[in-house]
Amino acid sequence: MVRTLSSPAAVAELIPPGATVAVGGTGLNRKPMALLQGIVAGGVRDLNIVSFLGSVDVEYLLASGVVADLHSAGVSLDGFGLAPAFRAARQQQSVRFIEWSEGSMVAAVEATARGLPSMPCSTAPGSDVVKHNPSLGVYKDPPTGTQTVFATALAIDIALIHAPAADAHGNIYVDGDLGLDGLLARAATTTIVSFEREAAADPPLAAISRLWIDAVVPAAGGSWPTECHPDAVVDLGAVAAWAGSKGLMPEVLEKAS
Amino acid sequence: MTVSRGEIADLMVVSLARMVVAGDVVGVGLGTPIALVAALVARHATQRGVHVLAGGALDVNGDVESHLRDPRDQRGLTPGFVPHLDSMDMAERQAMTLQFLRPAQIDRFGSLNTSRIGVRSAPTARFGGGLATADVPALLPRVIAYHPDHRPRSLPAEVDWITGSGHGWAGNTRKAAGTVAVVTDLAVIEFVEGRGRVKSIHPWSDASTVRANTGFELSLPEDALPTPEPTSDELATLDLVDPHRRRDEEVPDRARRDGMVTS
Repeated sequence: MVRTLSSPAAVAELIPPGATVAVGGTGLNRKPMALLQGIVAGGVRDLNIVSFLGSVDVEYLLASGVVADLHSAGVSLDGFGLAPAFRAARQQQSVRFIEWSEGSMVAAVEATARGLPSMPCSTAPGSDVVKHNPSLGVYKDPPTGTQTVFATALAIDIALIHAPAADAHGNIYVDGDLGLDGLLARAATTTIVSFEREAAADPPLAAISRLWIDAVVPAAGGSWPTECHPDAVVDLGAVAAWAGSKGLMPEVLEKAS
Repeated sequence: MTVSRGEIADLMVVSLARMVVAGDVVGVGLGTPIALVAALVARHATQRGVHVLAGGALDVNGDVESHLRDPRDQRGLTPGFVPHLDSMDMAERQAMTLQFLRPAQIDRFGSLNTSRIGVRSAPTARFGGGLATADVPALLPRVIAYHPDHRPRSLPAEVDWITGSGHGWAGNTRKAAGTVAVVTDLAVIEFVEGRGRVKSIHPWSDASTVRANTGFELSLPEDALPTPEPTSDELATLDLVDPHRRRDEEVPDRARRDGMVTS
């Protein structure tokens, strides 16, 4: 049974302090910003954040001071360059940043989704990413003896995703690249999806089946300032303001909302 | 000898494009206009014998600006849409053959650093993270790096942090050659049997400048040829695919030194 939450603010009650929260979307695509605002407003702290390819999501959470550990393969503002709050947090070492490669993070989430202890991946064994990320290591692949990088399963308590549409049953519809969101929904203990508008039910066309969804939340404009095709494009002015804000993201967000 | 950002960008782009061969499938990442323009120039030069995958859209028949648009706005312009996870599988299967990468540092082994500058305990600068840089050198048949600010710190003996590992590490069973070349604003360097060798020097530079600005010993023949200037055909293609000169954005906006070491 998929619950419908009344508003993004209600998400805070479902997230205990110290939870591992995976943020869906990639780069400036479909970031669940309204849900993240709900978490911050609800006072949830000490979160372990997983953002495969982060942008303003990571910026906002860091600037709001709710992050303990941050797992990512990269955080940037695309054409606007380096993310200021992320860069400041790393240089001041105010959060623990665990660097992944794209391939190794996909393997770690896939292992969780499949209920496996670990998965091999094609990351180069000689990379310092492998050396310093405690979830990664190198073993000899038993059947072939090949030196292979493995990623241990990355446990995710909550996945937060934003999508253009959900139907009355809780099936999720996405136009275009699903990114890691399908895997995150399968891997997480609880998956919460905010959506722009309700769609007529057409389950075989769903990008993510209701099977993997625990709660949906109506949130038109909930990816702002990132895009959500075809309902929203990237707000380039807001991202530029963010990039120049030296990490004062909550102020920028409040002024614009 | 002074040189403009535009001249540097043009010569770097055509030098990269000339290393692409018919049949290559070139993957282009985010925020790297030099890589995108080079891939498109190569596609033109080979009469579409090269495939370009950028931002999820395959072989968009348009200029740089159309590639930078959302792939979902390119219906009618692209025959194929490749979701992010599928593009990673393409790399795993070597269905993608080449990627141009722009790291912060490249060392004598061809290792690439896109993560941080400075020692781990006291880094002086940190970047956005390695994305797929730790993965692709072990996967793709070829990786070609480029750096528009050739100086000892950019090309050190050993990178401060190995994001993508270079030559000489064990475990590569996929016939992935790793970093095969580096194109900078001073020269074109090839890795031959794991060792950097200057292939050509740009017209505004010379052997002593290249040597003085490289943090490791290069095989550098004194009679290394100058990098061939862009041909009229190449310049025409550049105008066609990048009329607004997005490629210049990646070149540092300052007068290029002549024979001077900066670090």
